[in-house]
Amino acid sequence: MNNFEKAWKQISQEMNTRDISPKTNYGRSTDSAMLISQIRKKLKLGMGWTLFFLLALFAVAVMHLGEPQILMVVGAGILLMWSSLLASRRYYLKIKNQPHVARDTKSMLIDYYNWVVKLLRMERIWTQFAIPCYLILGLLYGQLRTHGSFDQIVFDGRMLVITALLMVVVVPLVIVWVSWSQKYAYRKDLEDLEAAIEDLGNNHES
Amino acid sequence: MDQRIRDAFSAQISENAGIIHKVVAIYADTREDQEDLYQEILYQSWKSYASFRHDSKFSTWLYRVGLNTALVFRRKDARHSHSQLDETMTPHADDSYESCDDRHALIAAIRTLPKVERMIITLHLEGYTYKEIGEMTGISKDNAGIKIHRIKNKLSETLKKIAS
Repeated sequence: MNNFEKAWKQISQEMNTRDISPKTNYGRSTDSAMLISQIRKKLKLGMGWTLFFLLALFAVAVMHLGEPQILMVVGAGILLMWSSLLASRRYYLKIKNQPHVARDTKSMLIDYYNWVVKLLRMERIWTQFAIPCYLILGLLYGQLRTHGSFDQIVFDGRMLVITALLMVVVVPLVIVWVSWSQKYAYRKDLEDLEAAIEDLGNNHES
Repeated sequence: MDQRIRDAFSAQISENAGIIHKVVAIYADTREDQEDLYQEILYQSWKSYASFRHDSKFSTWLYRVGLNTALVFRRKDARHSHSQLDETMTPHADDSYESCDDRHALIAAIRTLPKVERMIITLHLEGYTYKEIGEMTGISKDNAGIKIHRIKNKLSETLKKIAS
């Protein structure tokens, strides 16, 4: 072991002579492939799209200012989008502001693992709830535009069949696809994190 | 005020630059990855500096931030195949133990370990006690001792292989 320590001492001596570049910018992240950067980027992208759809819904609302029933339907959509945006923003800021790397390693890895699992769960639950809601709102919006008011809407056989097909076939498929693609995207990270946590926690490995 | 904090941080970083260089040397293989990891450690250190409570030495805190950053740092695969090795601390594959000095052999042997084990042995070689290593990594003192014993055996084996 003395050889290790002697060699390490030499390494330390050499490394200590190297300085930090005067051009160093402490505020610049490398935007590397670090898991935390990926989670933040993903949340940012999601918030960007939510904001875009929210603005689009506001534009639709402005177009129907004189039609209270359509405004009600569009307002429900805005409410859904708004709550999604707030939840994502809260989660994003929580991850962004935490000095995660200054904690002990095991806590940091467990936090990372929980963040990914929570993100996947959040998206899975949200998709199951939001996609059918948006579908119903979309159908109501279309009907209101055609017929003018809720009283005059007629749900004919063809419309009911299409709605039922969308609900029974397309919605579950989209939900399964979203869930699968998220799991697939983070599978390697979750495996690495699990292995590292296990590595730190296991006293009796062979 | 901000400038004063920044100056204090810069001074402490300059004083402990060797820590960052060592972490980079044992965790990143290519020059691009080394530059990225180096920059990422500085960025994460600056971002987390407000959490530094002065209840431990700055060097201990910097080791924790540096090693944690290195542990979750991942190379950008797309450019990896085109990058060059850093000649300053990377031994050539065909070097014999005799032509490659002890420092290079040790760095090469540490690089063969899993990331968590690299972290533990680095802290041990830096002279941290089992208790301190346990606190920094989140494992028990006894577990740290067991792991260090096993890692040392692994390193000895690897160094023997390099020598032969």
